[in-house]
Amino acid sequence: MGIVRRENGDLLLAIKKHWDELIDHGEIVCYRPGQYIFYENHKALGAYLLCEGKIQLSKSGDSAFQRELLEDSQPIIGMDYLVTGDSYEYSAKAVTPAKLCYLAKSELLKLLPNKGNGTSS
Amino acid sequence: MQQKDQGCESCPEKQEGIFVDLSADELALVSRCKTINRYKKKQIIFYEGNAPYGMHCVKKGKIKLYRTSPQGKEQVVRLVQEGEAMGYKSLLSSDKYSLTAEVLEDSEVCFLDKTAFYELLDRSPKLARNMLETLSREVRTQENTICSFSQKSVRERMAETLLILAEKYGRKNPDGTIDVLAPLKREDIATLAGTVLESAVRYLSEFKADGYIELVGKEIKLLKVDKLFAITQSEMV
Repeated sequence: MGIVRRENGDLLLAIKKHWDELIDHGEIVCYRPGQYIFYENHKALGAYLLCEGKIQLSKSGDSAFQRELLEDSQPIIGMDYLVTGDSYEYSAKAVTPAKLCYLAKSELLKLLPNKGNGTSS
Repeated sequence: MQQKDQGCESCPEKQEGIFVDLSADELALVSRCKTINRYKKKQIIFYEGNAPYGMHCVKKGKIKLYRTSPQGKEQVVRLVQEGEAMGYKSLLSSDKYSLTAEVLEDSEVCFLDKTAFYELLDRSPKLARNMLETLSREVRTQENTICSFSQKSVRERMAETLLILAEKYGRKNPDGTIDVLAPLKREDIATLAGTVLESAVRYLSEFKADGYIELVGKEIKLLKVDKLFAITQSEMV
């Protein structure tokens, strides 16, 4: 698992370059404690920048784990799954009231010249 | 579980929804931009109060849309079935979601994000027209609901709710009876009828005693649709 894997270098560079623009296009979404941002095994609908609060990532089954993310590091959640097209390996749930900036899949993938304006699921 | 992709062009459910009669190019754009996910029962697709970030279309399954009161009570507002779209009204009005979407049974739901949605809307007058038609029908349904709540008795509304459920989620049997395949709690049925749980249960028992319906656990079977329909027409107050 990862927040943003380093091998997605092209996208990371593009994101850094267009960061302010991306954030301008982002939607602020708020979650109450216990509400899910996304579920394990789902395809990414976009990526999320944690702006406020605490998020728990958890995986069920044999390789179960739990990990908490805090706003301090401003993590981007789910970016690598968006790029690779893989399904999430974990669910993300708000532990405290949380505010995230949702970055749409079609906006992010426009940054990748070889990805066009979107990919099928 | 993630679902293997299927193009919108071959989706049989689109005949029921806002994507009907779109051109091959427009459907291909939807197919390219959509994401399809399989939701388990009780999972939430979107939450009331959040900014909408796209529209959802139900490919398979059943969804309930509800509003939660400050006291935490759920009011079921609408049931969504295969082919129907959710979330686009909030997108169009730039309002927050007014309802929460909860999965009633394992479902497959397609998602089109806001950017792709507006791109498609700009390209397709047919989609805009389909959405206006759907919105008009929804407004008419809501008008009927308001009239029903103010003019009909609880008994009539309960009969009407059963008929609506049968129309939406019913499976007709060869003997003319209808199985309501909606995994709704009695509380949900009560709020759809605009009443409290106790009244809903009382009228379900009464309809059962009259031989109009059969109750097996949560399952409801309509035995005499004509009698239920007659109730909805007979007791204007």
